[in-house]
Amino acid sequence: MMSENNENRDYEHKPSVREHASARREKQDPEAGFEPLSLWFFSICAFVLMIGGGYLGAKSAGFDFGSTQVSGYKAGTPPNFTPAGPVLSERDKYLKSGEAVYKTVCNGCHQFNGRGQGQIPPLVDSEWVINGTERMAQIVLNGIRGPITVNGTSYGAQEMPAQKGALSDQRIAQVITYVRERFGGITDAVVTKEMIADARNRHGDRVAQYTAGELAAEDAMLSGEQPAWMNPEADAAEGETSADGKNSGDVKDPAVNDKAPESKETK
Amino acid sequence: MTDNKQADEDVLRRAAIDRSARLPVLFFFTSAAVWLAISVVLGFIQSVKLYAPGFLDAPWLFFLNYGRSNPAFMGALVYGWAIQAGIGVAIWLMARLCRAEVKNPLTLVVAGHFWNLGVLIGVLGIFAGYGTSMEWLAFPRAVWPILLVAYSLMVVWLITMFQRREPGEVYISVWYILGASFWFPWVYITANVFIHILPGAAVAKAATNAWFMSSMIFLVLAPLGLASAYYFIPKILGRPVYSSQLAKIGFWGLAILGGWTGVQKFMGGPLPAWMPAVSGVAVILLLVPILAIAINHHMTIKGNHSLIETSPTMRFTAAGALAFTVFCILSALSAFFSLGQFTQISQTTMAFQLLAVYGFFSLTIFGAIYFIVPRLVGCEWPSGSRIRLHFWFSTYGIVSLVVLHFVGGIWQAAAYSQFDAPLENAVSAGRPYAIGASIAWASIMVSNVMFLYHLSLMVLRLGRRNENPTLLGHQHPAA
Repeated sequence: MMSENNENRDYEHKPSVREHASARREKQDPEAGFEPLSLWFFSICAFVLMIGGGYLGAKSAGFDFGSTQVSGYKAGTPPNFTPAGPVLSERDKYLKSGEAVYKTVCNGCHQFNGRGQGQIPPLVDSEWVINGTERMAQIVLNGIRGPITVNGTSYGAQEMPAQKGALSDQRIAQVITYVRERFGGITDAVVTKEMIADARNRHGDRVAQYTAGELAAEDAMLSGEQPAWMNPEADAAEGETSADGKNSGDVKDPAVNDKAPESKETK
Repeated sequence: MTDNKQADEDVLRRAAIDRSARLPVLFFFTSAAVWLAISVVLGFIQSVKLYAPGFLDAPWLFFLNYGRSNPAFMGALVYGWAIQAGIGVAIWLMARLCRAEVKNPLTLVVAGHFWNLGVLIGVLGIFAGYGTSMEWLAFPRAVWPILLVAYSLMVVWLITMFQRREPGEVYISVWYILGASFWFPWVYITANVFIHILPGAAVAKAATNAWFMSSMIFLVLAPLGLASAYYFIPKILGRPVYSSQLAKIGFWGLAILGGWTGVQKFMGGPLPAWMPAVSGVAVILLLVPILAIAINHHMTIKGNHSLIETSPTMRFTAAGALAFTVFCILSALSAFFSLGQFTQISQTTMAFQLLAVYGFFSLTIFGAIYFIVPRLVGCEWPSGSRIRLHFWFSTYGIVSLVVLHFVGGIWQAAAYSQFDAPLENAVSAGRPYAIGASIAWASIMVSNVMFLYHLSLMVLRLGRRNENPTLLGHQHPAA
């Protein structure tokens, strides 16, 4: 068998030996033996089956399709758990809602930075935003067309559609508050849905859009009470920031000022 | 005298069967080995990409980012290498065990070409960005019918072969091969229908995907690998398998339980609680057939451990069988939430997949290839030391890979469950282990590129012209 040294000679002289060498040297094809199973095997099997049964009973939750939790599971709060995210004041929530309305409705024309584009007038520092709320509510409710002068520039080739059908009083109140705070720096008062409901009663029947001359006077304000969460202390604290930030555009979102020149260039 | 004559006839018969199987079996082995080499290189790349995305980051190498190289590597490994090599072994075993020569080898070769075409389209499709992001089903949707038709052709061939068998006891390996023949189409069609054709809710797709992966391991790779182990262990020892009763328990246990597994991965997830529970109990109960198989192999080998030292086939097969047992025990332990919460969403997934596909299946199939190829080509493996290197690089590689991904995954998952810590912690917790895994990958890569070279020498008939086998011990110095 172990004839490594004369392997080549074998190959030269008796090729048939090498030809089937691998088939020749291998052992018989295997078959199954008949050893008995040991008791140990059955004991271990019984143990595994017991564990498996207990597992299924504990975890299957009665084979109920509606239950995603094992029976007896109680969702707990982990120790030291504090809900994630900042806690917003009522006013912040109001402004957030206004921002959401602005992003869906106003963004397309007036731009997110509030600077308008082409024949669409800006909102930033606009006298139409900073001054009376009555005429601002009129514009939002019924829309406006024709020439209008904003910050000394005349606009008018584009018209703004009425929003009274699309937005509820609450939404209009929120978005006006948001625009006045963000682009006008006015933080000491909000517009409530009661005010808008009143304005809708008075102006809601109008069919055509306004022209600039038809609007209410510059200083006419919507009348109504401020909500309870606009307490005097908050007014006092934020009065300062409004004085500082009144003409600097946006204090909440510094990115606006950074982006503004860029958007002018792309125009 | 008649005994000798009988033995001579047997030898000629075996040699004739081997000769008839040469073309299809060598075709499957070589193309599988090429895919293996491709897949281990991709495996190395994706393992580095996991922590160093800048590695090989040229604009024209866009297809190597982790999101593409990872599924491409897995697809090439499972479909290109594992199933294809498994089919090659199954064809040879079937011919040997049915004691019938291979007829219509061209059917197999045509089916093999289609299979390779499917895998090629699949891998290129993933590179081009058309992957489906489903684990083990990442090939673009158009590919699965090609693979299914190709596999079905091979199944038809295997069944025809079974019909032509010589009368007598049907050996254990044949059960497993027939099992894998029917189970793959079932598992593959079901998964593709419920993921690609009639997709349900997203969680149902995820559950189907998890079930598919697990069923592929237990109902396709395991039967093919076990068929090989059940043949080669007693064959090389020249003694019968310990107990046919244990073999039956092992086979039917796997057949009944294998298709229930997989969903335990999502325990605690948004699925009806009984789904993970049923899968969990299935992997626990699978310990019974696995124990039966392990005892059967162990008792067969008992007292003949020296052959593990010398015979390449024996050594690879024994290592693969051991890996299968370890895989099943770890799977069963992970079905309990105390361990499972750490293994469901981390690097450990990779440890499980590689332990099954490489540790168990590939090592077993390597063993079979080292036995079969010399009989097909008529020469012996050129170098025993190269086989030894293949074994050690592979086993060191896979053992460290599995340990690193398993332990690293536990750290990673523990960091994930810290709800108040930044997610980045989980990434950095797994990072050192991911780096270690790359080193292990390098070892596997080297060993398998070398294996491809070694196999090519054999296919080109450049092996040793000798009547003695190439062994691992020192009796036969490398030629």
